[in-house]
Amino acid sequence: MHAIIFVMRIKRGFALAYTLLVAFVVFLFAAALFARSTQTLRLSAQSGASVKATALADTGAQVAFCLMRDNDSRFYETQGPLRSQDLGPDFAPDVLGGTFEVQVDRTNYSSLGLYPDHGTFYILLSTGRVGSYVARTSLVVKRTNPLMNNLILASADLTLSSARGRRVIRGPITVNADPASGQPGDLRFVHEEEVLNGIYHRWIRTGREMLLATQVRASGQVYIHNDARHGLYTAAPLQMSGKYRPPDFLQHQDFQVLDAFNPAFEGKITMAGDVSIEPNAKFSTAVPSLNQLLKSYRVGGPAPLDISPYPEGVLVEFHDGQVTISQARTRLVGRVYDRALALEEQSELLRCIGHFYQIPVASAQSLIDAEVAIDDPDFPNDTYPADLGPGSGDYTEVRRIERGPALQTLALSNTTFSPVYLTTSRTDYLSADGSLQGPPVFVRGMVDGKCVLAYDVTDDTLDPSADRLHMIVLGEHEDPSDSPGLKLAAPGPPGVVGGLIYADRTIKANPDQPTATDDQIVLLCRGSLSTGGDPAAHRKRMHDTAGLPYDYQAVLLGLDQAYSRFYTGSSNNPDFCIGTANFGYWSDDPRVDLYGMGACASYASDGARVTSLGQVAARPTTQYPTDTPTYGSIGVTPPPGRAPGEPAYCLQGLRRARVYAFGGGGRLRGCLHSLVTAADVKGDAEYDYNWRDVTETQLRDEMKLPVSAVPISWERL
Amino acid sequence: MRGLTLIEVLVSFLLLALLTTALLLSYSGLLAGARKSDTNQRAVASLDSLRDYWELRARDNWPATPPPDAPVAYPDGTFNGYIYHVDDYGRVADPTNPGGFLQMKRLRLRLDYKDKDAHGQEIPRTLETLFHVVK
Repeated sequence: MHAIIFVMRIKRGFALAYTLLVAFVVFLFAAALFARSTQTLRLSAQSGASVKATALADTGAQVAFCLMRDNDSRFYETQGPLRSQDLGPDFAPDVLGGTFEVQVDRTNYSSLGLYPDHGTFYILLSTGRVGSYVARTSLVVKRTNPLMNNLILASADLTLSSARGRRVIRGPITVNADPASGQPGDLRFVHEEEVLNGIYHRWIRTGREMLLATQVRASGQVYIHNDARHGLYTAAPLQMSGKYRPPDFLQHQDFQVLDAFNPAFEGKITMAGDVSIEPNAKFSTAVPSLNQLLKSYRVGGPAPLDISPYPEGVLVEFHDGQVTISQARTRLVGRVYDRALALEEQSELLRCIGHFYQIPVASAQSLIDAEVAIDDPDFPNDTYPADLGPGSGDYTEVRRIERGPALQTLALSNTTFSPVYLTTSRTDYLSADGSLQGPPVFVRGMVDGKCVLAYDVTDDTLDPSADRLHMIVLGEHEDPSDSPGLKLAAPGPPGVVGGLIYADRTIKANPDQPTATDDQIVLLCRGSLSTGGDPAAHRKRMHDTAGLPYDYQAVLLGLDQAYSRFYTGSSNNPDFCIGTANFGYWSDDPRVDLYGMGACASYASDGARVTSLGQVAARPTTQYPTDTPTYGSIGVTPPPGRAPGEPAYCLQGLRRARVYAFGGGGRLRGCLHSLVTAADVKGDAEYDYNWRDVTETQLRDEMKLPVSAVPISWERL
Repeated sequence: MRGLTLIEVLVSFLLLALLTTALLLSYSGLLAGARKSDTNQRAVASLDSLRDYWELRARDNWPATPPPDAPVAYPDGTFNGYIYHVDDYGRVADPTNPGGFLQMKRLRLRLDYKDKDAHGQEIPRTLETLFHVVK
């Protein structure tokens, strides 16, 4: 003690340091105690009442959302705060066990960069109260058309092939984050029927030729949930919760032509950037079916154009800032004989047959010859042209769509949408496979302006399954040489382009980049939306109507270059290339460029409801095989040594020509969500995200589409 | 400036001891209360989880028939050792549209559990909450 006192007296500075040390220790102790006490107090505050208060805050946000979604998206423009006491007996305090109040913030925060696009947003702040307990929930909703705000993932039925066999998945498939996979950012494919677990590394094919992505990696998390019960639309809403930032880069390679010998064709989705989306979002939005969406046109929409009187359909062409609707005519331009097709496919057939039967090439050749000799009753038969040698055989006709008398012309604007509404009161026209349908609508051209093209029945009873109306985007260019007498469009040669292409192409840096053009087109069809055109196989070995060989493919390729030079100055711009479809035993689809957003109720696939051009058949054709046929299934006598159950391999292309149902290979560009930052979506299905820019006013007043609320984020404060 | 005297240092120690004792006493009381409510805390957490679970389940099993929906009482279930009961009152009437219904259901969740009183005797307790689900 004496020593301490001595030190204190002679070392005055030491006492101050000692006091500071003690104070520091006390501070640490108090801080630790405070932290622990706070935690304990917080836990103690959790009670049944706090859960009720949270539930009430949630309920307030949900009620507000429902009133906007199910009743009127502008409900809050004339309403003050939403109080539970004002909502009737179902929301009385004694029923709820408390009260809630919802404040609506209508400030447009887009200019502040709070949201990634320029839609119309509301912030709903709900406060739940139970006794002294208070809880708050924040909900951000976007006022838009849910279908327009969607991301289409799979546009057709899919066939899953695995060791267990094949299974056809009807309806759309969507994708969400897969937190259970253990791989951050992995996505999970979701179908309305089930969750497709473990699909990685499997071949997933649509129809016979297409492959869906089997490997998915993403650095962010994406949740897209589809709660459609009947697959009446091909899209799903994008739901987000928590922090929301657009991906900086999005690459989508869903659809690739299947090449079983080249695993590199395996598609993938790659997402980089910070997309934080809660897998277990509070909301599951009820997206309106396409039928509901189209009904908005029946009530207060534009004047319809009834195309019922035209069983061959109508041709909708975009050119010179206008859209012209005219009667469609088909024109016979030539024939494709089975022998010609066999010669075209010979090398591929020899390889496949030789591999399948393990026989030498010479034997495979005799098999092909035997197949060609079969007279199929479903095809017309005629004497071969001179260049194919003696004998006779089956042939299929090649027809093109011609422009008939004009029905309507409408000028398009670059600033406002012009809706075109086609209807039919007849769906009893006979199609190629004997089913009934409405007149087909053929679409092509260069879109300069904004347009919505909708095709619907006048009454739902005419098309109860939403599968009788077909919209076909024509892939072939208007060709003066094979359609003499056809009046070309105003620019003169080369005329109206195939597919659907935006006129304003100056903003795009490259063909694969989503366009930022003002031109926009939306196709809405109750039924199927597909691409059409004769497969390349038929074009290569064609004979004209005089029976002379006609290399139609070369003609069209020449037109490709002419169109490309005319519009871009370059002769090989892929947007104008229609002849790049892989021709072979597995795939001979035409390629169609389609810039715009398309939504339809169903897709004609294996059912073969229409021909490639949606032609109405003169007589029904039934029981024709659309998959790899066997000798027995097509009702022919197998060649010597072959059993009826064995695949009849030859001339698949010709058979498909007769019942060809879907264009495949369609390229969809310039549509859907705009994420402002660059989004590069590659693959056969190419998406542009500009559609998320569309405001509520544009949707409601210009496009005549219903506007609803879509939840963007959900947070318990 | 001068150094602290011994008496001043001793008084400082005394005050520090008093402060520490007061803090410890108050916290230990708080801790005891929290420990006593552990059972309740677990039940509340289970109630919260169950509510989220049934929200998802109700959404997935949305009725196919048009409203109004007849009330449905589901069989009692167990979760984390607790017995719970769910009543589904169906879709809620639209407050802005007489005769109409919102695409929103109302459910009630009840959780029964046993707690102990100050004498260690088990007493039954119930937690209950009403919640809504949007289709």
